[in-house]
Amino acid sequence: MIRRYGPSLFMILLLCLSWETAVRTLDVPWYILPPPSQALRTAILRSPLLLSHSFVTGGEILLGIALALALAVPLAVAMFFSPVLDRAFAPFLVASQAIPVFALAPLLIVWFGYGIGSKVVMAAIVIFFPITVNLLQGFRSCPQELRTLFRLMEASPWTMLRRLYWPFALPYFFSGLRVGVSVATIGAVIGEWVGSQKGLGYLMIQANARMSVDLVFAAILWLSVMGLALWTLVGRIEKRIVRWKN
Amino acid sequence: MRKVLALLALALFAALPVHAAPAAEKLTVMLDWFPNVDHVPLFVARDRGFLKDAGIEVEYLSPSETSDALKLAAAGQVDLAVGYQPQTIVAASAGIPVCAVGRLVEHPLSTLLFLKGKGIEKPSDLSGKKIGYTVPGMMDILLKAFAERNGIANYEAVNVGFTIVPALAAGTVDAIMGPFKNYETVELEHKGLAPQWFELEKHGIPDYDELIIVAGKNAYTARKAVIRRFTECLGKGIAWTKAHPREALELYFAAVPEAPREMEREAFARTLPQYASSQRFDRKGWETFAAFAKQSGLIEREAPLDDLLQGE
Repeated sequence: MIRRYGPSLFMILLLCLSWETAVRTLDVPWYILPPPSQALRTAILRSPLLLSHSFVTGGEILLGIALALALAVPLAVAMFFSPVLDRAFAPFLVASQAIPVFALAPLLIVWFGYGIGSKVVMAAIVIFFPITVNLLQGFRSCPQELRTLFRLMEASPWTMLRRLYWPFALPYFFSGLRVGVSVATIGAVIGEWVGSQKGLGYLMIQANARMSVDLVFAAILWLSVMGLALWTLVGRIEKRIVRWKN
Repeated sequence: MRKVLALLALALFAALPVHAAPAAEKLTVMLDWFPNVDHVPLFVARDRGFLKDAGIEVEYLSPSETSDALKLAAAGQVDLAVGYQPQTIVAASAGIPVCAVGRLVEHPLSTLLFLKGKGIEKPSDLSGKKIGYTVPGMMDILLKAFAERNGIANYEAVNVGFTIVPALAAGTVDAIMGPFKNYETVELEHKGLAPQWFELEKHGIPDYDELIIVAGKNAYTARKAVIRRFTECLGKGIAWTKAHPREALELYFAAVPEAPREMEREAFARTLPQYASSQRFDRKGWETFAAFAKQSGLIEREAPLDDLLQGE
């Protein structure tokens, strides 16, 4: 237990300690950067408020992940099997990442409204890229000999996908998913900044207008914890499914 | 001997500037937003030489977000900030050490904006409609107060953030609380839409100074004289802008070449009557607004107006 979580706990403590000392010795005003003790206290004292907003942001992220998966998996498969589609989609895939989500946000809001829809789409946009790219790379990592073997045994493309390519791609898929879920918070929060009624991003804007800087940072802490939890969860699922890796 | 001579020469040089003109005092001023026509008098004060004559060298900076300037002024990272009266009252109530030292725009620019031809004649026509607001924590509260005072019932409030034009154009909302009457109105007209608006101060919301000059408390105590000289120059800049609007706008365009000229020209015409007529704060008006802020829930603790108001 200690060996497992010790190093990260130690680093977190070290970071908080140096942050606290820096703020105190350099006399950084609380409204520029509150000390971690204050942010943490607010994060705990206002947890009912933060929790209710976290449910909204968390829901957006989970739905965003679902939508991203629904898009990424078929797309990666299609691009893998069809070089034409690969060449057709590759530029768009990359371009979709070069566009700042912030610029897209107003458009998405007009299309999908001020409700949860636009945030889910925004989260999906940032998640779907690492999944697609990794999955594609995973499919391609399958050795030629095995492909030939499967073909000699007259395996159908569907069987090859299920029994050969997919198992090879799984570890790649999970690393893509891990990257995706840890940046998903950015998509959801930016969506909430642009226009929303609830969520941690909304709370941050509201707290900022009220000069409650500690609450802004408390929301950031909650977001980090959410990102961390998702990351860990994906790791757990990967261990369950990709047993042969270890 | 040589050393002594060198030292003597040095001492002489060091003594020389005393007889020359005194070095200009430097002031950094952070704007509330990217430079726009609201700031024309500031550029006039600089580029017509009012500030230089007062022995002030000024630098204007743009923030990344509207509350940055105020916070950085309080922290002493910039000398002065362009801020909003409501925001400054919120900051003072939260305990951020700032004081208001000068005035730029003396009435609210924020409005309740909607489009013509949607059957909205009076505020109560917005009953049962969808009304957007721009800044949660500020404009939602103004909207609630506005609705209560003007008999708007059963409306749905929606945070539209900065998507003002698309939200109105697409009809996602029927009106929005927060857009500026000198800016977004022009933007909408340029998109072929016909904006109309209710002015807050004419519908039961206390009048307030939209744009003011804010200083950090420590900076104000330490540099009161130069800050006073600055606001005096701002007053001169405003007077000159009002007397020579065309030249003032040209000065601004020369200083901010990236400004969208056609739009800013119209926005400027609408801003001209709003520039502050004096640098003296209306204490009564601030008291009324502060009481309103407390009552409507904009602030929790009373704002210390005695500390806050440091005008002429």
